[in-house]
Amino acid sequence: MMLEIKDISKSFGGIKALRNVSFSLRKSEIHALIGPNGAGKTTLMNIISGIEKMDKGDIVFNGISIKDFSAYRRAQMGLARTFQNIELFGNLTVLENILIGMYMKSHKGFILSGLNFRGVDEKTKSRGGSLLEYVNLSHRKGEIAKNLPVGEQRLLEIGRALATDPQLLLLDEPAAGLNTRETKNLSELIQKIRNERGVTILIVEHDMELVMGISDMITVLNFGEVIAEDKPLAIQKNPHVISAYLGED
Amino acid sequence: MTLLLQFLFSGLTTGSVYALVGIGFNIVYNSTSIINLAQGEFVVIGGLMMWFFLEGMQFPFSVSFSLTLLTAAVIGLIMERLTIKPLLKKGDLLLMIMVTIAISILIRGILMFKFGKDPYTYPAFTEGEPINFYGAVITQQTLWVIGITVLCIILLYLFFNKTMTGRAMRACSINIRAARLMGINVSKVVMLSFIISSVIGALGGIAITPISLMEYDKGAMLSVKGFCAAIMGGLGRNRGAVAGGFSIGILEALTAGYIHSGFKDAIALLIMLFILFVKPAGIFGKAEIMKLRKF
Repeated sequence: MMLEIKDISKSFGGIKALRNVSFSLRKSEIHALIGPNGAGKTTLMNIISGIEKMDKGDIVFNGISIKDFSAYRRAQMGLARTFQNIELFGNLTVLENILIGMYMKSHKGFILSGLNFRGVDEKTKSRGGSLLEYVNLSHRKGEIAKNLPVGEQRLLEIGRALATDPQLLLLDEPAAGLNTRETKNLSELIQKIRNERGVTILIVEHDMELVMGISDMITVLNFGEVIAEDKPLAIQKNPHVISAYLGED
Repeated sequence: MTLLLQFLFSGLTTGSVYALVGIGFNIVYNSTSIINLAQGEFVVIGGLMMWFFLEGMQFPFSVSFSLTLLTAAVIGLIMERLTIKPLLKKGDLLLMIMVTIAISILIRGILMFKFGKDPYTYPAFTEGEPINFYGAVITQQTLWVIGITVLCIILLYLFFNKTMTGRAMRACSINIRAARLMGINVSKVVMLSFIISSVIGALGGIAITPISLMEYDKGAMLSVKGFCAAIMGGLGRNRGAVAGGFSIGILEALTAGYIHSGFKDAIALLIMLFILFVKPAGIFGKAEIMKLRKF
């Protein structure tokens, strides 16, 4: 198992955002997390990546419990993510965003790399360049990240996450704000990342066509509880899922 | 004309120190969103410790210089590890700013015990005749002060734009959450920002002391002036702090020269009030960026 979510609970004040949520991800699978608004999907993403603390439960990543690890430690272990509201380093260039992603793998100590005024060596730079090519952004290399259109900012965020060389990639609504063509390209990119790099992917997404098209496994959350976990076709027919989305009769 | 040139140069000299203090404010602000009001004390530490090593201990210049910077770096490090690091988790910005005020008072007290209330000075870095520039007399130390400031600015520019650590620090100032998820150790970034700003402050103190003397209680006013410089250029922008520092220095010198030296200190405060009323984001700052900041 790549990632095991064990019995996680989290409440904000009186509201229970997550109640005893458990599921797991196999290596190199694309696993989708779906559910109506307010189901607790983003909260769960934040807990897995270490931005928020959970009240109860455990997260096991590659056999190691990471629940007490800080966000940057988890990133160093191979856990990367993107955000629902794109969170790039807006004032840096496209390439610099990628280089920051490569930072923890490429730098030689905090102080030493602060004294290296040549910055990054050619090898790192060309690796950054080929990553940009991988997400189809080579033509934007020198531009300031915040000036990119939303679709390309999403790609850059994925590229930056890939730059950390992750084993597990969390994508939080990567298709939000994308048009049909961009969504199609995105779905190809996600599959390419899994197929060529063997990266395990956990995706939260509302675009059902995208989710059904690429996922191996789907977990459905409703009011903070797992109500179903199955393959895409079975999920589409699951009566609990249908009533969660459409309301009870 | 000669008189104007003379005032301009004296303004550039004091302005250099304001710029360095302003940059110190910016660096800490960018990594933590707090205002380190002990910033000015590091200029005093620079001047007085330099005197201590150079005149008190009779160490050679280069040794004293390095030891002074090292002392400032260690004090900055201790200050951050003992007070800011434990508080940063709570995220109460106002509390942390109060703590920096407490530290400034503490440092001032220790310096008073150690050095007394007398002003200190030591010889200029290089001996030699002042330079005559179209009638204005420029001492060599003036050139040292301006030179060191310019060198600092260039080095910092290279650091933040060329090195990986500098880029990581910029990434933290833009989006600390995303930076953490890129595997950047934010705690180290904060530590380094305190060390850098302490050293920069001390550099200013070392350079200016032969010209304007140094005493234990100069830090508070320097903090105010440096803060004005940082505010004027838009908090968080080093280019702005440099422009702000030099303009405040020059305006002060002109006021002192042409009107009355008693008005000198009021100028910086008037400028700060004016900017806060008219363009709170600073001359070079953008209002929308300021809105995104917590403080």
